[in-house]
Amino acid sequence: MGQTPHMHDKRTYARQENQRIMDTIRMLVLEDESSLPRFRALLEEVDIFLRSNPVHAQVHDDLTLVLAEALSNIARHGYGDCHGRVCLQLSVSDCGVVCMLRDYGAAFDPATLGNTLPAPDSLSEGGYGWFLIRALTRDLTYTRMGEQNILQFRIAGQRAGDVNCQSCSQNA
Amino acid sequence: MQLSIGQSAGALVIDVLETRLDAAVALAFKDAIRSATAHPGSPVILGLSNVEFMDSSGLGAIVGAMKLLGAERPLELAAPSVGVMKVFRLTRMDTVFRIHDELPQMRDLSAAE
Repeated sequence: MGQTPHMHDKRTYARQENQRIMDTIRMLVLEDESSLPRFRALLEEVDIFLRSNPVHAQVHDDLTLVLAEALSNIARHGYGDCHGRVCLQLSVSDCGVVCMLRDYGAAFDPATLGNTLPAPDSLSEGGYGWFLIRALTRDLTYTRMGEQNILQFRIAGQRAGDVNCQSCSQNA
Repeated sequence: MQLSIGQSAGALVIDVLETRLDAAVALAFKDAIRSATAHPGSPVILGLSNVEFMDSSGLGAIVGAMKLLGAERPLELAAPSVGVMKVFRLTRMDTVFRIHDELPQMRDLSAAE
């Protein structure tokens, strides 16, 4: 982007540009039931998708963790251990992964969640999930639309193999 | 829940043979640790080298195991992967556990399921 290719590189350049455009719209849409064992299957699908659309290892790890936390919150709190639908949409771009999670569980207020960490000495067995979501995501937004919870966030990072990504270094 | 149990000097060593410690196995993990720690030995050293993924439920289960053992029998961790260590660091629970780089050589007691 923004680089003028040499004449003899034109075809390569066009192919690269094409690839880039394809990459930025690579998208995964999944719909599944919100039970904890089903989440593993869902995360495996995400793994398969990310293997053919490689992202930086750190982006992969952070995304997997954030999704696991968000999905268990939906199962436990959103649906109160009952089953419900979850829709996951991922798009991979040069600057990481943008994710949208939709469910039809109880509404919640993310502003009140995960702002503080339990004191380590208190040996709390819970209360870390939303803190981790906050720590590892950017541009986190929550919308309640009708009966739907819509959670969107971005995991920033360089795409595997990219030496330098301008937008990432600008946002860092 | 697959664990390998052994002893090293005075310590009880429990090597977790699972690749994931998450919400789906948190309860099974706590139960398995409860039975494994029926074997004598202190401290209890939990080997995490096989665990590729741990979420906050997995972390909670390890903290629960630590509380189960009480102050007399400390729970220590060994060989966490980069991803697992990140969860300990972000939640500052790395300040609570003694974390060894490697699992000590152990005399095998049994392989428990």
